[in-house]
Amino acid sequence: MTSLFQQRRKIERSNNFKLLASIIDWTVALYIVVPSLVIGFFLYKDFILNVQTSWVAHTTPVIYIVLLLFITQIETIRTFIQRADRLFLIQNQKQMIKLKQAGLYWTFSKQLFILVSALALLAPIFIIVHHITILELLILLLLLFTTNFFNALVKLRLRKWQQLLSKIVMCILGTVFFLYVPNIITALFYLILFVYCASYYYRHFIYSTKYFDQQVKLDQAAFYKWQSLLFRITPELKSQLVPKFKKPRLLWKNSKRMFRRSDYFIEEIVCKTMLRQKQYRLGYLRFLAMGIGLTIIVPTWGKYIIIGMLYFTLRSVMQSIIQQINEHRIWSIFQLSNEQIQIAKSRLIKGFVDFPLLCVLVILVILVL
Amino acid sequence: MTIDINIHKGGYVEEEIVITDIQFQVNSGELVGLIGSNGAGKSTTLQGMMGVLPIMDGHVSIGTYGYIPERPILYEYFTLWEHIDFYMRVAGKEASLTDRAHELLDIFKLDHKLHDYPTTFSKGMQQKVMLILAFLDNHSSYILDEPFMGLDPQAMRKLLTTLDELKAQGASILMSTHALDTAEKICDRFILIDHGRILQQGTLTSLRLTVKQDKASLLDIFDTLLEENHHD
Repeated sequence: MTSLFQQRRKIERSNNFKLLASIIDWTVALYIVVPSLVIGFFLYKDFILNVQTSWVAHTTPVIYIVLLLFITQIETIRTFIQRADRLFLIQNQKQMIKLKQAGLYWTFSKQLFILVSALALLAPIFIIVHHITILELLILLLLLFTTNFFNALVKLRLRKWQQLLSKIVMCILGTVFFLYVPNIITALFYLILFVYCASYYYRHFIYSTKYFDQQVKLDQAAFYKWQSLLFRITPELKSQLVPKFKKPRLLWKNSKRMFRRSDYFIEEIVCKTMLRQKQYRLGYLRFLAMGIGLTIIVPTWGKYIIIGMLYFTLRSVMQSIIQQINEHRIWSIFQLSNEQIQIAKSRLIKGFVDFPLLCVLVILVILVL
Repeated sequence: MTIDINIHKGGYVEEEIVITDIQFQVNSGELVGLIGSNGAGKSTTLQGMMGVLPIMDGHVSIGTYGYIPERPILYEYFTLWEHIDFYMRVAGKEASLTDRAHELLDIFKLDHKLHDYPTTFSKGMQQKVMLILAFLDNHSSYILDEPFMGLDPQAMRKLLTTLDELKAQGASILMSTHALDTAEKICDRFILIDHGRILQQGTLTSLRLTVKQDKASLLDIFDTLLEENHHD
């Protein structure tokens, strides 16, 4: 059955990889992901070196425990079962149990990895600022792991408001245990709780098929987690190319020209497309806003790197928008020369890339001076 | 200006040649019908004429032309007037074409939809937009790919009148169509295509002589020639 689990994991992995590849093409990787990782590393290094004098020195460990519980929570205990398993696999109890077990171990491994990574990142704060020992950190790991498992289990049995209440109670309980109860008692309590939760899950959700439909539904949601997240963040990706409305709704509703000059017709088609097509408009604005936002928060040396990156990113965005418009079949009706397209392209890059970045640069220089 | 076509071979991929040895002329003031079954190579021939066929070996002589595509091609984020305005700006003839644009909008009854997106129009109305764009400027040649598709009888009559006017002005018109009864009435000559080759070309009278049927309709001629070709 491990092979069935591996097979389903492979499908999910390939699905997630394709999605990732569709978002991070080489330009995004080159101009955003790699520089972000490098800048992120140096920012983290700076932060760690100055941790005792920074604002974190005045925070309490309670904040971190609550934050960790919120960030690292288990969305679903994976089962990797599918709707079609109701037809065949459900009749083979042994295989079904093995698949669900593999799903549980996968969930545990992933959770452990996330918690260890998060605690490792926060370790300097805990150890240097709050003088917490390694043993206490390991107990915190057990506490967080068990609490998250308990909350995931609660999700399977209780209503929404009960889940919320349980989460709050578990959060308070975890904080109290970690801060005020002796280590040995805390460790024992959470170990017993973990064993109880695991045996409960085995009894009701692995050996029994009573909750089959509910588990399938949750697993499907977990399978499509990244797609759902992507569409939640960028809902415009869902939209079709065909406009929803009969008429333009924003500016230039009465087909008036954007540019007085007659020879600015390619500029007009690009500008009106960006104004009326959400995907292009938000894509451009998101990059611009992200770049400006990053320029504000990074140290002075980083600001110039961000502006440089933003220049290349916006240029790529605009070139790809112009290219997409240029590939439209409408050009078999409107016959243009390559020269006309090149001239317009250069003007558009100036207007959408060079001009806004020059403004940002001027403001930056004024602020720095 | 005469349209002169001499395509040795043409297609979409190197290994699959769709049309072979397509040779014909369309004279000034002449309307020629390009007839053939589905997949015979009519639209491929038209694409070859416009220079948008990926694989093409041959020579095409055609001046500026007005084009009506097989299916309406519209820009999703332009209103009807923006399509017309864009066309006029590309042609650099805004002053002279504005009146003609309003005239055509009035003829095809689209003047009340000026600020709507044509992609939301019905199929027939979208076809009318294509007619307006094709007939806006005075061209020496016209390439019409299934121009009657989706048109109501009144619009069809107006299209026929416009074609007559263009012919009278000396335009060369090549029209691909399946509406054989209409083509029979309005075309001066016919080019019959099958399996990417010209099966026969000529006037209705000469085609009747070829199939040895005095009173045969274009459809009868087409059927007979196709059958003969498939038997060969």
